[in-house]
Amino acid sequence: MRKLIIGLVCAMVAPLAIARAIPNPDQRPAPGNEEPQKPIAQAHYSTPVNYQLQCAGCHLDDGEGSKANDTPRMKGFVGNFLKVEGGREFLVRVPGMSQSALSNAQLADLLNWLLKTDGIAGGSTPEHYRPYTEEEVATTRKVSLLNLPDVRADLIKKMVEQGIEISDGMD
Amino acid sequence: MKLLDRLFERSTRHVADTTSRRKFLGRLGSLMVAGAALPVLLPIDRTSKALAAEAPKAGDPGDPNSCDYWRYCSIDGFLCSCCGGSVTSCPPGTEVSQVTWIGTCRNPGDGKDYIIAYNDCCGKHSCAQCACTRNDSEEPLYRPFNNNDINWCLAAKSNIYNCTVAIIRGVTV
Repeated sequence: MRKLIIGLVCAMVAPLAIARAIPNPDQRPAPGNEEPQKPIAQAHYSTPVNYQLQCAGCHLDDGEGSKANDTPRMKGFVGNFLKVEGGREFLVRVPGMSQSALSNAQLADLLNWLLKTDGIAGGSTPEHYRPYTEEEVATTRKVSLLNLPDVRADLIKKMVEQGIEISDGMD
Repeated sequence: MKLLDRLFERSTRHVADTTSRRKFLGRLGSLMVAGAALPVLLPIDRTSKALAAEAPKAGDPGDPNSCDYWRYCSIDGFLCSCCGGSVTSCPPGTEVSQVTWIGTCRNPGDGKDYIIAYNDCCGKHSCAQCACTRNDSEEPLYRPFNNNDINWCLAAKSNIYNCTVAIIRGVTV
């Protein structure tokens, strides 16, 4: 009987002992980081830094993207969206853009930076490119994209009709 | 045959006459205690473990094997530096996931905010050493690209999480 009780106590204590390995939720901030960080919209970082903090994790440094987790390639391709109807708005409304922590002005700067001919878009940006403005981003961003896969597939279809080579890395 | 019989009988009787079972048990007991204590008593160099905690360097204060290290200000998981890797490299036999999330941490050495990538190392079961959770630059799950509760092994060949590294990508300017 005593052995049974000891066995039961051990069985009950074991999960608690394992649970102790779970990180302590009351952990204090890292030394030097006690002061809460400034939200990125107020931090006034440069556009390349904003790209690193909000985009580069998945789209990678050069915009190569990652097919394994459905992140399309932007490198040398993203500018093609401006060549089809609805593409200009699409680039603002994609979740990574519209739901990012960036302000409208920062988002406009980021888009213009991406679409530079010597930037990630490379030669894919059309010749008569009209840069995004803060106001345009503000009005476009509010409209949510309800069916991302279909809207995107439709834009890609329009590109194919125009004879644009699809190199978004998703096929 | 009779000779062999007598030889064995004599030798066993001799052993039985000259030894005691209690003494044997006592000896065995003390041998076991001494055996267990031997590794502790032997003059082994135990400074290696103390030296595993890297000495703080100028401009890079703190111990990379501790959750308190400044580069780990937004880490959630096991430190690769405790798992056979280092602050910036995966342990042998694991693969780094290229897709990751990126945050910032302030270096108390120079007061600057550094861009830190928290790449996960994947392909072996959880390392379960140095479990840390810090969320200084993390954002809620509705911004998945800035969240550390996600298993960032999602782009690696194997989605099994082993540990996390903290790589400096630059200074915020």
